[in-house]
Amino acid sequence: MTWFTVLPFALMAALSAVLGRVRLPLHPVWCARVLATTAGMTAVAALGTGFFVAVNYAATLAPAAAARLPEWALFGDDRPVPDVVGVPAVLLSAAGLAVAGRTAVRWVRELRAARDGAGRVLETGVPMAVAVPGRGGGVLVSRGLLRGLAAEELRVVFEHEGSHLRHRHHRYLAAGAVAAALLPLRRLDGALRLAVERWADEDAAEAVGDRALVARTIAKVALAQPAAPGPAPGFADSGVVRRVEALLGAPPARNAVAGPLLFLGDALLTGSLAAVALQLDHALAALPPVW
Amino acid sequence: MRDVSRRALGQLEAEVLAALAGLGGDAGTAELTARLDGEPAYTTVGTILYRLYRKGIVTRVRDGRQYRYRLAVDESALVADRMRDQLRHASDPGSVLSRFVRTLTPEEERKLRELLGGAE
Repeated sequence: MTWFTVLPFALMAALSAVLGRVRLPLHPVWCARVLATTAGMTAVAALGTGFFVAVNYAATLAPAAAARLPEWALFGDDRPVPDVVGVPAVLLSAAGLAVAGRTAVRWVRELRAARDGAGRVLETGVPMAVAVPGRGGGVLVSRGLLRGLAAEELRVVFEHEGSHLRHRHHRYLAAGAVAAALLPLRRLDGALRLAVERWADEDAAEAVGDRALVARTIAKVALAQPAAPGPAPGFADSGVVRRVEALLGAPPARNAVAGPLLFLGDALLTGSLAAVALQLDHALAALPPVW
Repeated sequence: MRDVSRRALGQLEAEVLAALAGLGGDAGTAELTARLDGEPAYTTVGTILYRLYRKGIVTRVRDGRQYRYRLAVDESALVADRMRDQLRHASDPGSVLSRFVRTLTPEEERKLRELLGGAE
């Protein structure tokens, strides 16, 4: 192994860190797509790199067993992997898998709780609306929301949540959540969450044809939330202010050219880096030719 | 996907529920129809109420030749409380559920009031 082994992952982690800090001058639709792709691919590369270093470290420790491994799983150079690199790689890969698994279990639990409630009204005075994805899902609303909002405001909420369900936004959130669970990429996850909310806001604004109404509805529901219990979560920017600001301004440009171009470029770049991290070229070369 | 949109609480269903909640107590179909925007047909509202009744979201009692509806009170308050707790975390990092809005920080609340003050 050489420094090139970790290069693809290092490049992607750097890209993710940068994307979490800059505000992409794109329509939220493209913004969300670029951020989700980057987050997902970075998570794949992190796990892939850790896995490969761990496998090769194991091969260093037990050369006899290594002979049974397929050629592509090993770095070409027969040089042993030093303990300094190998031990952390094994530990980090195991921790990474555990974290990813725990995140998945948590999603399943949350979704099950929410699906149990879908189709019923939540018994709380706090105005709440949650998009519950998947079969048996739908829009979960609370009694406080139904009581507190006028019909046209309620329509805004349903258009917003409907957009989440229609565009399967939970998959975007899953990519960001896994990346943030594996790596210190909370900012990227935050930017992605905001982009997804803005996407649904824009969809709602288009459906009801009144941006100011959407802005007012969001503000009204946000101001009716009870203060968070316990110490104020100082770091957590809910994004509500930026959503309302954006809706009070002019609609964002569609980015019919720049959006797809940037998205494709990002997908190609991160996709090929992830493929390199997984040594897919070696794996493919090892396959018997089918023609 | 189609499945979800069919099962999701529809727009008109939500409006009927909102009207029912706004009235506080129970209401008949005609009263509710009058309170809805866009004047939907009496029979449409009747159908929606029946659907909500079948889903267990509203209860009804016979009053002469008609039914009077009210929002079903969830007896399993405990279950609802637990779910509310789960959903409180729905806006935390790491969740796949997206809540309409998240809890504001005091600073955000101040800014938001400023923004709205400027708009009105």
